[in-house]
Amino acid sequence: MIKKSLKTRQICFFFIAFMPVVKFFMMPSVMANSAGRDEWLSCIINVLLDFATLAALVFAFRNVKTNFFSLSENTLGKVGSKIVYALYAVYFLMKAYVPIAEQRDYVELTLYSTLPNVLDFMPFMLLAFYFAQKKLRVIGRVSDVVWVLSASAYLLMFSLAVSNAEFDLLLPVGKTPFNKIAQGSFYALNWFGDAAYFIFFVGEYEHKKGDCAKSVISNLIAALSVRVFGGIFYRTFSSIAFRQRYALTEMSKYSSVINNVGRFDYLAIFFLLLASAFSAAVPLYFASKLAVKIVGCNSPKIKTAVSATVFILYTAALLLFKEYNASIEKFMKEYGGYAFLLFGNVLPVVFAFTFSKGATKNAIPAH
Amino acid sequence: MQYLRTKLIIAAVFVMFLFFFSNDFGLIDIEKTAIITAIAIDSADEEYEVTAQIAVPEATDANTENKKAQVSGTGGTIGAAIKDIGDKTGWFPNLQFCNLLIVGNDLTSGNVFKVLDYFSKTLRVQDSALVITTDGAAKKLLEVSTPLDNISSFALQKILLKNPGFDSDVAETDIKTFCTDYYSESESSYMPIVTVSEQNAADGTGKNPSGGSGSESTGGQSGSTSGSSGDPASGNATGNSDGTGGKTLFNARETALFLKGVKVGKLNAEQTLLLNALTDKFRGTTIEIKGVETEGEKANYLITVFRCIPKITVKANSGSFTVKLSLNIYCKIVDRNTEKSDVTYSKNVPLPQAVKEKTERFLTDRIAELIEIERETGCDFLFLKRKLLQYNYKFYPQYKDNYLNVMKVETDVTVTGQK
Repeated sequence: MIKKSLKTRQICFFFIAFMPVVKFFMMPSVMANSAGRDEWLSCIINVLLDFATLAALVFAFRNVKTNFFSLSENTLGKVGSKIVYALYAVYFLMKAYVPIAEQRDYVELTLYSTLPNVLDFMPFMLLAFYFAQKKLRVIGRVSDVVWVLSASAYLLMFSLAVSNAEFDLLLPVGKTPFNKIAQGSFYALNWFGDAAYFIFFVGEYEHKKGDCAKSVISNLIAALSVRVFGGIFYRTFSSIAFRQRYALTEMSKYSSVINNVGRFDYLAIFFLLLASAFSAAVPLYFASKLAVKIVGCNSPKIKTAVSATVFILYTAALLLFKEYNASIEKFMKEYGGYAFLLFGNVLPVVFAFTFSKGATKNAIPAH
Repeated sequence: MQYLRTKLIIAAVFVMFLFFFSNDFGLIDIEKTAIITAIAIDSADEEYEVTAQIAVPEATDANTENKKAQVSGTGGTIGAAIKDIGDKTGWFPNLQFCNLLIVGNDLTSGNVFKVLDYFSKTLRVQDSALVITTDGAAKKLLEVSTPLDNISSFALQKILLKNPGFDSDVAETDIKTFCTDYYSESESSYMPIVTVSEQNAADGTGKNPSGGSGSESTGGQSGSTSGSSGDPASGNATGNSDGTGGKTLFNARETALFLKGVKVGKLNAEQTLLLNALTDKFRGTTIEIKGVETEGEKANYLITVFRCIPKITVKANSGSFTVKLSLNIYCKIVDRNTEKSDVTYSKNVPLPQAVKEKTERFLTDRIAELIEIERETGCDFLFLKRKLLQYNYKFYPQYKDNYLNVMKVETDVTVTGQK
């Protein structure tokens, strides 16, 4: 019997540890910019969309023992599959760009007093590259460790911030024109579409009775964390929420406890930064794996070379396009949403219901 | 071999992380860093003059006092003026520890948001830094030394930021709150006015060169005042003035009112107290009730508020717009100047009816004054317009422009004590 790469527990922790944290930087302000006080409705639309996508995937793949790559090749053939891999690799590289750029800007602006060196953010790329050389079980192992840090950080941050939040600032509810609420959702799609990761977990974990519920509940916890953060965010900043790009460090510091004791909330912030580094590396991990699959060689050296090429090109793009960040960010918000919706929500559900029909019972290892 | 390579990779990653998180790459020598504790902003012709109070680290433990330095810079924008300080001194202006912004009086006649916007947007300053104004040049407040702390901004923070249990007699605000209020539907905000007056240590009488509210006794006519005079915990801080040899007294009990960023009026100490009662946590505040006649004897009472439940509700329909302000206070007697007494205050002493009535009258009168000031100045510091939008959205278009003129006010103040 082939040993599975992941356990259900680890997939649950993956959603809790990594999915919310990447949404704690710029995303709430992007939604608030369009939907104002109804940004929480924009957030709920996206959260429900992801939740529904994951629920559909978990349901459709519940009896499937084969991994995504085998399923794809069985259904679409080798060429068709490689096209899908290539499209998804591009999707993941696109999806990673803004979160990585915003985290880089955040670190440079908050942790460095003067002009930072362009190489300062490079340790992240080294970590992401190292991460991408590992088999899928690395995601499970990291999730096992990091979820504790993430969960404790959420609790600390939320409990500090909630005391300063004015709940009536969300009133009146739903008075923002629906097109603005929808625009807020659409512009923030870059940070959602997390259910798509689940298709790469299919067949890689031992499915037992109750696992569907566990996966869905963990996603619900992650979704609630995002929702709670977004809610407290607007209640804290209200009319200036649209320009709070780096909400992460701003939320908890108005607490009277922080005023009296000092910024011990930085402990939670550093936990979240650690989790967000892995979170931002996850799309690069899958993009690298897909690139290796496209090349289709089993030699470890060639696999490493392909992955290194992906990372070198991506690092070069991050450096070269730094001066065009504003335009790229605008493009991702205004037009990227179509791709994020297609690859993050629509296609995974289509794959789930088409691939699962022809699923075989024999697992073929993906990595 | 494989094992060794893995260990090397892990070691390299850890070293990189060490550099990365220790900020070693962006290190600035501490001797070239100016740790700014407060910033005063005044106008200088067509430019801004920014004065930074800088805490100078001491290398010895023989001197326990904080050392300070003041440096000014000018520029067409606030950022340029701060940069000018760095250019003049060679110090890198570190604003991470700047917890106080002082806006000079001359800037309040224009839109102060132009001044504060820089601090609300940059990540170099904590936007939880307190914002105050004064009745003269802002930098004058930084030049004062007090025995509370050699660095005046630290002394000022002591009277601005109160721990729970102290009097809430300062309407303190920070950059973030000022900006959110400015951008709110009410477009109104406020900040404390801090004045400096000299006080003779021997007789305790104060003279206020600015003509402000440095006097220690407020509201004598109405028989009520808040806090204890000269007590730093109640809005005042005393200290030695630089070069004069006398004593200085900070007073932060008055409040400047801003509409669309422009100063349009002010609240006196009693009105500020009520503003806090209606909008802030009022628990622990003491109120002095003078000349209360109980059991045939005139006495002064000091009562402490143990519970304060404020409520501001707005109700609108097509024919009227009604504002209801209610205040429910539970208090206990802390002190009374009586000739003889058969109780101790460690016991729960019932609140005499006369004290209750006088306190209620005092609070009701001040609330009426607050409403009148809202009408006169147009500064909606009680955020009635925002509440109109939040709770009566249907009638918001009807009343949003004339709500101050047409509103009917109902006041309901209840003071209770031990029964």
